Amino acid sequence: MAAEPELFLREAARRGFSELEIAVSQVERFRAEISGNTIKPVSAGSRTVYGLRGVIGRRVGGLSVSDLAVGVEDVLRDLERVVRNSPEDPHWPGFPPRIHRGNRAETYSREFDELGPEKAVELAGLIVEEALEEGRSVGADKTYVVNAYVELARINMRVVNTNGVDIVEKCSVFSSSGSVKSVFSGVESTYHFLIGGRRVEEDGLGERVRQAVSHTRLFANPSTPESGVYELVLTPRVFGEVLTYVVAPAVSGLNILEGRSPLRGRVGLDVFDERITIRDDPLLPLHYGSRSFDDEGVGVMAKTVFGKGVFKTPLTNYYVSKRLNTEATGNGFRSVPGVSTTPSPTNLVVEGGSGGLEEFVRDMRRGVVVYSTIGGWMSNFVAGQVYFTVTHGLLVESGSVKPVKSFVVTGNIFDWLGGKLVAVGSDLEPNFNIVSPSIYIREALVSGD
Amino acid sequence: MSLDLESWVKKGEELGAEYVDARYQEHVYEILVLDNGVLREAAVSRSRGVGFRVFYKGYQGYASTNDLSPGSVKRALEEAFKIARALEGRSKPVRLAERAGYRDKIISIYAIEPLEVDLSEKVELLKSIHSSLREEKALSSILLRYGFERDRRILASSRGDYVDFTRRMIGVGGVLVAQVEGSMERLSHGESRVGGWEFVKYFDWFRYFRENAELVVGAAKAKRLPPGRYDVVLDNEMVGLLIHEAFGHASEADIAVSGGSVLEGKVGSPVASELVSIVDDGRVEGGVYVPYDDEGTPKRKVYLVEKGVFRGFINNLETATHYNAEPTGNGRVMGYPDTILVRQTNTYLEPGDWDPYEIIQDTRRGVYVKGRGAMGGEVDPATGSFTFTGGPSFLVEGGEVRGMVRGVMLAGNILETLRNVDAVGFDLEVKTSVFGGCGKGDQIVRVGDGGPHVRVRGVAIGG
Repeated sequence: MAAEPELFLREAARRGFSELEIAVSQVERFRAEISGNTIKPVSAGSRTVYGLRGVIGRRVGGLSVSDLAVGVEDVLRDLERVVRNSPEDPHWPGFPPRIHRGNRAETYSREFDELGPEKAVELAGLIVEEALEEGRSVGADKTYVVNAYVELARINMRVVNTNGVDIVEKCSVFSSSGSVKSVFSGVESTYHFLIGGRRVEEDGLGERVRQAVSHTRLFANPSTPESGVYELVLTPRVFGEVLTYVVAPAVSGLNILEGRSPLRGRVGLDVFDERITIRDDPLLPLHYGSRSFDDEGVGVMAKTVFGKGVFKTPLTNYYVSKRLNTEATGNGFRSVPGVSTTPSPTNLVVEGGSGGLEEFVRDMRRGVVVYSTIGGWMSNFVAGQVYFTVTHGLLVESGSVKPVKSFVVTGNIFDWLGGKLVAVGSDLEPNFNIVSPSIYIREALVSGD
Repeated sequence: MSLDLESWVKKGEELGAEYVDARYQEHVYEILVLDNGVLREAAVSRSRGVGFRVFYKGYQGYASTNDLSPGSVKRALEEAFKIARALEGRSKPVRLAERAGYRDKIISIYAIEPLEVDLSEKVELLKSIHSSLREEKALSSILLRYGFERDRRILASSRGDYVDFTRRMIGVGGVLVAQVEGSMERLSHGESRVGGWEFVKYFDWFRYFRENAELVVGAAKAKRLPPGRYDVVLDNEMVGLLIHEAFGHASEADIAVSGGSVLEGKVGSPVASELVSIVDDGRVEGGVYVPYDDEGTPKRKVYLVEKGVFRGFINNLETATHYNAEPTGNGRVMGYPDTILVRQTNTYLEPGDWDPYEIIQDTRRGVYVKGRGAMGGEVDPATGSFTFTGGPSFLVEGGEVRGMVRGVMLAGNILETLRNVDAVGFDLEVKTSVFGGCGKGDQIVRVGDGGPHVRVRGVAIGG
């Protein structure tokens, strides 16, 4: 196929489509993996995907094609079959017109022009070297990288529609995560690291790997705390995960519109403590979620989602903005080309307060500090209910600090960031598309021994 | 298919590779989403591509493309070879297990091709379900999904393998949200099968969704369970999650080889109650159908645990060499661009001899944890911590099922929890899903899991 969008537009007009949107995504990616300190396997891949959404009257349908042997006519014939068999969407507002806001985000790092699989291998080598060196410095008998990956990707996107949108966006993506293990006098201890952005962050990667190895000492020989009510401190990474799983879906305009969000009807009202301010900022240079346009080609803008505890605005794509009778915020993103967009954050940034982990731990009487969790993605945003199981935590009790694991922490996000909020830290840390500090909460439920 | 995979394997060997495998995939996914009565999504995704794995002196390189022109395929093959060669001295060489080559063509059983059923018939089904649910006024949101996947994979290798396998999976699911006196609750669940449209056509969706609606409205009125340790009776779906998370992942040999599994060094040791036998099998009624893995190895039934004793890891060709074991047919990929990992197929706990009702009657105080509305699970195989959620569940008091509690999260440790199983039912049930799967190393593959009703003593639960 490898066709220009203009060809699709011409053929669509001939077939009687009233509107058409074409999103073309070309991705080249290089990935090196590590297993037990050994770099393997390494892969390279390139993929072009055409996403088409067609409209006839108010009937809408989509097609995603990455079979490049298929012709334009065949693709539009298939799309027409989907569209003509779809029922009408009474709310269909059309594809967005050209909405440029003059904001241009830095989304591509030029160093990616020259990068290939050898750079991914070099960075994987750096992970192993840093881990081994830090292992020696923390006095481990043995340290190794259990598993990890480094991925580098170049992405070109073009979005064109019949209403005047024609945008091109070029993005680079660097991401890495993994786990390291140390052995101290026969006792094994593991910890994880992760990092992601739009530039290659060699120094940041090395620092995260060293910190992970250092944490293997901190979390060796964990126990499980007794069930009960505890003070709770979340590290920046864990607080960021809670925001992703519970707050981000709740501020989606679609979920609000369709009765799936606890924030329905609460724009302009206090929902959190006044120390909570959260912005959606697509313009942070070379951050993981930075974009100039969303996946519908709408120009992005920075916006305050929660200002001093007040819910200011839901995130919207064009469809939702029209139904809510608000401005499209440029947050229409999709998992694969060809499906409809849903409102999602770009970069969520929490405004810092004062203090940080050390101060919070010092102030605690009986609490847990959570460094790493599993299962947080199963939290119930509809009810505002947070759940996660702690794999790496510290129990602070009567001045003593000891490692703990394998217990469930639950609570309600509106309580945690409302009446139960003790403090918001100033120690902001970026983790993929979230920039968040540590946070101190007066009480949470712990299910342990 | 116009691509002659075997000739590309030969071309790779001519470059100097000692082993090449080529994975071709044609994938179609159809999704319909009816959101509060409005068709939010009607989309079909069609993809096709080829991926190569090339071994040079034991070093392996992968490369892929979805441009099937000869020039592009040649570039991908050469790139894979170049990567393998460049790893000499920077990685460790590996050897794949020896086995016979297989040539086979398999199409999973179906009666009615879903892609030939009019889209309007599918939409009409979702609309009828929506209309019937609208009678329940406490539902503030009804989102319904239909999904169908046709996945054809062809594997050719230097060993002489040529395995051409097509699987169809289909299902309907939904997310219901209830709002009762300011309290909100959700329930997300679906039913899927390997098969065709006949599964959707003959399933009683109205009854199924009516039950889901009653559950979510009940949950919105229900209390939360106080945190603590409880004796739990797990239904079939929950046992599947428990087995998959609490044991399945740690028994994947690639995790163990990397030093990331608490089961390393435990083959032959007791790890669970004697009532516990755990199986991984690619051909189970209700589960995902995996007759061959993505390396062309026939998937065979494997006991991970037999009467409480750990019998061994599940393997791909590389890890089988490491453990000097037979390949078990568990080398799988999400798609043609991805690298081979060791993955579960259908992991389930073998039935025992308890009547499920007797397990409840025999439980003095505990929680009956139900799978409808469960969101899934996750494990950290290195620390041994695992967790999973249950849907709306019930308190058990004096051997009787009492009041409902909202969905719960359970946590435990791989080497402890299965030792506390003291009753295993005879009611085996295995399920799979066309809407999701199991994630590992950024790859999601379809899996199945299940078991009979089981009682586990003293599990940490948060509500």
